[in-house]
Amino acid sequence: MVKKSVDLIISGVGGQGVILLSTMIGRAAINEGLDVKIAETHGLAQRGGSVVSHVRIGRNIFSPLIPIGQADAVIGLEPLEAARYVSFIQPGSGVIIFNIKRVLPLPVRLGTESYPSIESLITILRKYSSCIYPIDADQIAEKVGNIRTSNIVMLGALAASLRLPFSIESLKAVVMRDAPKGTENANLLAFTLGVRVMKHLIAGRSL
Amino acid sequence: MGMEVGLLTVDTPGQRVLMMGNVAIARGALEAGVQVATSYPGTPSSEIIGSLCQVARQAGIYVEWSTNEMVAFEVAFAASLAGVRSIVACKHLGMNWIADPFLVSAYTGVNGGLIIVVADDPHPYSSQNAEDTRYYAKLAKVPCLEPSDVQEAKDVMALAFELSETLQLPVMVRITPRIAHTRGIVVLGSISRLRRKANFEKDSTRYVMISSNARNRHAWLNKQYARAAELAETFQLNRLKLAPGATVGVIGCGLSYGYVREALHLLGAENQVSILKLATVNPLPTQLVCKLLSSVTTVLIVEEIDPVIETDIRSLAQGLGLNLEIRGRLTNDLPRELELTPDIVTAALARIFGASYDSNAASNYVISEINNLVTRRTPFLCAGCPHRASYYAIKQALKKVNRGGIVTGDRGCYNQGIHPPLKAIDTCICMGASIAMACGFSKVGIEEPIVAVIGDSTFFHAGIPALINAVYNHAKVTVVILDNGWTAMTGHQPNPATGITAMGDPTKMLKPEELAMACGVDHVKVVDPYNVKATIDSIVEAINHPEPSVVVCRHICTLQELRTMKLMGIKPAPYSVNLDECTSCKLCLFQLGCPAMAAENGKVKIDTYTCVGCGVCAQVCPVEAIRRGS
Repeated sequence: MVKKSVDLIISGVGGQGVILLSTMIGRAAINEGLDVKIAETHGLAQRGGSVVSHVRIGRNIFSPLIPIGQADAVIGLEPLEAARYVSFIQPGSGVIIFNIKRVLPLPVRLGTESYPSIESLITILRKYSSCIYPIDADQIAEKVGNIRTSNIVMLGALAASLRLPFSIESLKAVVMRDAPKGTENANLLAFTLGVRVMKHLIAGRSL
Repeated sequence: MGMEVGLLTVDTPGQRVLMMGNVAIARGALEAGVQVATSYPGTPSSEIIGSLCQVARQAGIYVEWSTNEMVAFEVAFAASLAGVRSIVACKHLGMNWIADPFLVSAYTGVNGGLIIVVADDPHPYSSQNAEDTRYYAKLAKVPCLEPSDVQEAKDVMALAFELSETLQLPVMVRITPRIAHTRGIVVLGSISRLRRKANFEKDSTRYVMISSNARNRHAWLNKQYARAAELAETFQLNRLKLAPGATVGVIGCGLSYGYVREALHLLGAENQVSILKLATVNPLPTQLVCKLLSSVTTVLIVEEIDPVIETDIRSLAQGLGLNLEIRGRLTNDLPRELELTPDIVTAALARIFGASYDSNAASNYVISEINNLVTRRTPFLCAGCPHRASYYAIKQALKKVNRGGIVTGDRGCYNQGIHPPLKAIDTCICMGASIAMACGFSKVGIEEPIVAVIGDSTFFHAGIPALINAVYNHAKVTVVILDNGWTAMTGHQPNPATGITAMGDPTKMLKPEELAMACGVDHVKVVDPYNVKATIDSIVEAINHPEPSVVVCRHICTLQELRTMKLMGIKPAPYSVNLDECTSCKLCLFQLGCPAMAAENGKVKIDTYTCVGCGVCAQVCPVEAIRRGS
């Protein structure tokens, strides 16, 4: 069977920008004349729930949902949320990128449950794939001077991590166009730093 | 949704755009010349009217958020009787409210096309059940159409309006979240500028549905329904593709067709199966279906939620004496619960081919390892949410009265009060049930205080008749109206408490306390739940009142308050815990469970980015160790 699409799972916590990132990728793809389907979970997104979006880009997409084991990458804007959807990636070759900044679920904040260590998460994720890239996107966003650009750091990292059916430049153009007025430069810088950090990670393969 | 709303009114036919399904439906309605659109918000349908209301003036149409779905339907129905095209959008539970007038509208018939777009929630993401609303189409004997993707979600609207006017019947368009909340490519058509002049031609034999008229119209409806089945045979979104020599057939209803195509691709079986893509799910195009059934020995029926078509097709095959194997949910080839996925459909098809499909067998053990490690992330009330303060006050008031207590809940953000540590509500069934169920509990000899909690929007929707019932029948209940001024749960639509309409016009702001008094409640108090002591005292007083009592806990939704503050350039002033004075009792955390707080090194830490400065925790702290500032 020939794979006919690029499939991405983007996950996070309500308010982190999962839907924004998905839509930016979709807009870059439509500029290339490709077919796009993005299945989103809304529902309780605003109230701190888990949010996931299936992004499919290709010539002719049938199902809005990605079959299990087919995704080229899981991009987690939060570590737990990356792990939650990892069964979607292609075992072995799928790329797992996540922001190491934790958002604690309520039971963890109450002290009734614990949050797994990043190391233990990585140990398990490694059984799925060797391409695991934890990124301190919040720290990079702080350097940019706008903590809210951490999701764009992740978008940059994604763009540099695998072969998307459009250029990094065309995604960058969408980021510039869609960024809230006055934050274009911060977002552009965040994107560029995201690309850079991923290139370093791939070159070093430190994990 | 933001930028997509701009695409609703651009008149650039042929342009390819990325659009959410709900917005595509709105666009389809505009292209078809809709003039009236009504709804009560409900996930996953809210963006249909939510996007239309933003362009209503520009498009020259009328859009409203109605007080409930039944009212929404009746407003649109009247518009249709006056000859203009109208749509109603709702979620499946809203369809339950619409049912009463809807079933009679099939008897009166309609004039201008009338479409009910209903969004079902198969594996409930944001609903209290999963119900298949296609049963309503069968019950009412009206056509029901299912688009298979976002493009068709737009295209089906014009076809549905035409069908509605040809048959003079309302038409249902059924979607699920995978249409509603999927973004896909849409090729735009041209927008209709045609505006019909409303004109109601009186005809008491149709519009005054007394029983003698109903008897005549019953026969008329059956005739129209038969005609609907004929029209379904050539409906342009149905497609039958017979594969030469194929013994296996598949019927994919609406969105399920995409899963079928995906499954056949995964199995490499694209040319071995005959496929019927079905958009007219009620009534069925029986000849078209028979063409497929008589060409194969096994058929798999793929549809979302219940085996509605499957049951019909079994009956059809039996009537025709066709001897073939019919598989689907009734044969457990597809599960009776869960939302369909490409994996589920692929596994079912593989089984029919005598193969097996387990997409991830090798890594199943890793999945279970991960599931053990990954804690659930339940949604919760936002930092500073006034409902949290109200729930705290209710619990403290019940403690003070010291006679136990039952708290009946209702539908809205505040049903997040079920989660620990609040665990504040004992029931939550449907819109308005809090007050009516409180009446029931009070009438069966339960000695405990009975408190009903209901939001402002839900109170207007369905709470008022129940409150009148409490007064009329001397039900000793306390109703706490959580008035945050917005229909917050579904994305902050305005309601009668907000003071603005869907189209942005200022309007009379209704106050729940005035309505409660008008319902005959003598004891009505209004408090700001951020004032913890006053709120507890008011609720205690209300519980001790011998007749029905109402406490309105009024504070604007925090998210809206923050938006207003941002516009005015005001920053929230967060609180912090003075670690020298903190006795580590963690009462603040365990009583409130605010997302700005977490246990850290045995004490409680407040995250200054998340804290909005409501100050409720400072009032809960027994040693006054929480103060504004760092």
